[in-house]
Amino acid sequence: MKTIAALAILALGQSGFVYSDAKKDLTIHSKQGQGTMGGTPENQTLTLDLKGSVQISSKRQGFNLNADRVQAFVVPGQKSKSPNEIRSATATGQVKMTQTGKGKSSTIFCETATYQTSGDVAKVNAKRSVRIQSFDEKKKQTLVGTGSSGTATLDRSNAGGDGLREATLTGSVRVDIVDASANGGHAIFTGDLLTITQREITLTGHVKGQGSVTERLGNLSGVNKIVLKLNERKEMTGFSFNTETAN
Amino acid sequence: MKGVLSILALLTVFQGQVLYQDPSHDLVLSGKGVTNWSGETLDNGDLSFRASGDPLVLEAKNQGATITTPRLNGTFASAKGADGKTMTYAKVLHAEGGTTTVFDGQAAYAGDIAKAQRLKQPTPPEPKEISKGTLKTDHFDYAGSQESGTFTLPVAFDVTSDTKGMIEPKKKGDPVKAFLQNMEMHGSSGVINLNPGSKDKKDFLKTGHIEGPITFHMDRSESVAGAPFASVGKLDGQADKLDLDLVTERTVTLSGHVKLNGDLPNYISVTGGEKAVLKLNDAGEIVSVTFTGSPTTSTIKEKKGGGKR
Repeated sequence: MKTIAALAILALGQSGFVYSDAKKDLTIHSKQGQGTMGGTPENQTLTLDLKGSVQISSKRQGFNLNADRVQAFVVPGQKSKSPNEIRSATATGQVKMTQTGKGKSSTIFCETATYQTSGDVAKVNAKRSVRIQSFDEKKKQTLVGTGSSGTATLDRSNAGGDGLREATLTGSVRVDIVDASANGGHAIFTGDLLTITQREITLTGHVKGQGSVTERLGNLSGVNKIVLKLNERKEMTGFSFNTETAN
Repeated sequence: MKGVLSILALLTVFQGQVLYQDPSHDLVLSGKGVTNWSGETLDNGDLSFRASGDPLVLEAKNQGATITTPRLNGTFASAKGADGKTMTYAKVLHAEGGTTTVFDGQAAYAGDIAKAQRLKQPTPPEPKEISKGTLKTDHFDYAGSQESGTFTLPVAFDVTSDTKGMIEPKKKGDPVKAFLQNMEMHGSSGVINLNPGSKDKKDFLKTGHIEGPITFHMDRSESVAGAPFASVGKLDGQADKLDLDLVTERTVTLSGHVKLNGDLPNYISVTGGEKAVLKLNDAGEIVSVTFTGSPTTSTIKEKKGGGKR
């Protein structure tokens, strides 16, 4: 086992910590960093503790992570002997996590987050002032979901998927979404719980809706549950709602 | 007095929870004791809904229409009006459980003023006639557009209408007249076509066919040059059927077992007629009554000082 200090020295003339694997699939920058190599010569792993303006970028994973501090465990991906894939990470302070897939992308903002890959997806647990943004292939924002905490499942590859497979936000949740039928108009919905999947967004508990430019929706309230139907670009194409209280 | 009425009006404003409000705030669905509120957007963009409450109130402010009912389902649709502005309207409605529908010309005018202020347009002129109509029935179906609508009334219903307005002098120097005209009608079923979105708020009632037994009462009073209102005519009637045409012929046609008893410019009493056609002028006055068939009794007498029939 040896420290990562030797690798960091490769960043000649630059201040702070820099790491990249042999093929530069994974690049890491931070003001300070400490790492430990592990594993076997055929299967090297890297444990990192990074502080200050941390930037992690994985081309193969289509994944970017920015935060004040990140503790990460890096493993070699397929056909690689050097560590080039984030297996898990804990990020704190101004966390920004972006997953790109098929041109579309989703970004999660929060104060603390854990990231753990599992198979072809990555699980994210985010806390404090969570915001999820989705962008279409033209990098146009199509939805913004906010909540006090949440979880998300991200695609682990930039080769397929939408970036964000599903997410759940709790606390006082809000989603601002493009209404596909309203010439670029937006609709805003609030509630207690927000679940985002690839083709639906569900809000439950004290749901209210408000259209901004939409022609069909001014205000909607008194609703317990609303399901927003999404197109491939994560724009709203319609919705259904209900409120049934027991007598 | 006006202040007291204003306070009473404020006290009677419905204070239920707003369930739906269109972007222009013209169409508002609210309810008290809401036990069901559900719906979905349709492929054509319309919003389909179902609601139950104690009661529900649907207001179409720009039409001056208010429906109060415990159960309501239907669809709201949006389309651009003649002014280029998008308007949301009730496209289909089914109300049941004891319904009251009010068409208030004064409220429609207030809605027009509010809309003009919102759009920073000139205040619309006050209409010369204002009507308030009320339809009460257990349940009905409604199908409409931005400008017109049809009520289908499968069961017994009651309609009342109060109209007030001014009659312009026919020639210079004649005094201005004000009038009040009231109508009550009971029918067993029928279809009524309305034009509530019309610029002309006075005649939201357009055509209709009503099955009997039908009973109705009309009375009219006028005030000349500010004097107290005095009765100028009244009419009570019964029939098996009633056809209304206020679009082309401006007639009310009564058919089958017609009974009329009126104190118009001429005194009219008919029993057992097959058909009677009442012709109205633009001010809603009955200007002629034509009978066909063989009434068992018929009396038409010219009143002293009365006009011609």
